[in-house]
Amino acid sequence: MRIVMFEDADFGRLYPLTYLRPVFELRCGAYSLRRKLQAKFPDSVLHLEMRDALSRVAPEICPDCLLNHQDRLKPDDDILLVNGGAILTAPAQKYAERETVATAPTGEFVWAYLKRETVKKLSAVSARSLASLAARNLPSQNAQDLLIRFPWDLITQNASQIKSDFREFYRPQAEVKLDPRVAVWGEPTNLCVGKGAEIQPWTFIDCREGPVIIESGAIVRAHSSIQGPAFIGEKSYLHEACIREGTSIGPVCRVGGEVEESIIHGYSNKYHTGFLGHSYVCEWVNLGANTVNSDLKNDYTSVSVYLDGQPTDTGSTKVGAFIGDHTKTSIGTLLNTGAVVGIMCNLIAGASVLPKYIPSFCWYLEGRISKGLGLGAALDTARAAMARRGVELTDAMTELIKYTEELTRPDKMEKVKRDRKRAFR
Amino acid sequence: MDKDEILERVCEVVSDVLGVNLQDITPDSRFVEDLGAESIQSIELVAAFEEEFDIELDEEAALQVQTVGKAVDFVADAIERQSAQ
Repeated sequence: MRIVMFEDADFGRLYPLTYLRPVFELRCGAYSLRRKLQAKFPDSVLHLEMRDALSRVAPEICPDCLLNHQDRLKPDDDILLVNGGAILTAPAQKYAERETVATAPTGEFVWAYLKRETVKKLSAVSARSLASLAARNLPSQNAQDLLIRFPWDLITQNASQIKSDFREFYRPQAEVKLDPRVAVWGEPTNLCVGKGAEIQPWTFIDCREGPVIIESGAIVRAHSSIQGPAFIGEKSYLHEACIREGTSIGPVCRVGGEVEESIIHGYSNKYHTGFLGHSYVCEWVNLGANTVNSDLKNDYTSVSVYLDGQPTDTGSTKVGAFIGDHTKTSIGTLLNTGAVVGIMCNLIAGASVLPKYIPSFCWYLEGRISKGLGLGAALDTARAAMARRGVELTDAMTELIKYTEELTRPDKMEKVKRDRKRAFR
Repeated sequence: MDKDEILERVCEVVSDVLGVNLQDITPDSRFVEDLGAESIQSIELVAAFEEEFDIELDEEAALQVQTVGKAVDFVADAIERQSAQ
């Protein structure tokens, strides 16, 4: 059986998180949606299908993967077709019991198991169209699995996914050798510490409510506390951090202050005091000292988040911020409840909370959205930030960023002109 | 719009944004060295020119402009180009 995981047409609902990566590379729990699927079917070949705009950069994001391969729909094998936003939760063998299409309660395609004869008969040119044809032609059932439809879904599922990934990817360690001045509360088998990770004295780890995973090369500095379920990725540093339940920190991050039920994808910094809650922070973000986001309204009503320029009711009272790649905030930045900040923004704190929606490539300065220093300067900053971690800004990624700038420019200019008119009237 | 009018309006904008007396602004005035513009104020100046003259300026090129006189030329070019479009 071949597995084909694909982006459906709704990848834009996950902006700004998916401007520079396919949906299935989003992190939920310890790992990406793609990695979870690979782990569930380790003996099957996995093909990935994504939008054309990402195809040049995809090998850098998903090395050693079959990407938009011409043979992905070849009818020489049965196919398990999986939505890129899906997290399959049943045992692996359940997905190949009979030909069927599984859909979410809201009607979206989640997965389908197709015999090779059906693949041949449907004769689709893409996984996305195959999914559509399968949904029209095959019996369907309600999916019992998870589908990430909106950015906040990643946060809602994060704590349980850390627990699930702990069971899937990690084996209990016979004995974790820690400095005797480190306090661990809860079952020691709920703590996993990777090779070469350093946990300094007077760190407190609470794994009563869920596992704590600290990957290799991570450093947890003295006076940090970690409440499980929590995941600290490879070579990340915690600096007097207070990591609360349901938090995933990807690789090579620098984190201090308080973080609660949030996902920091990787290669980002929130090194100093400040609160980050119920948020998803993409890569190469720097949150300046005392950057704070609100994840709860003062009237306890449900939070709305701007999707495609329109406020969308999340139905949840706890929703934080969604911050795109390469965005920077100044010291003292205050992010509103449910804020959406695009990629490559530069936010300079003002006298009050920032607007709920800031398009990509914008600056926020003197209380309004502006063009800032432009794309060239933004790319120079990206190059410099990445070089500090020994990573190159490749031509392919530069091209994708430029493509995204063109894509988002009308939205940006609408807000820039609106705010400029107000400021200089 | 002739260059004298553009100069007059540019000087008013500069005075407003940088908080400098109008009589202290000449075509040779350098934004940073003479008028004390910091990087954030330079961005504000570009935005203020855009709003004053109803034009869009290339921000990278605009931020290379160093004097009031050069700013007048830059704005005049932008007005001419955008009127023709």
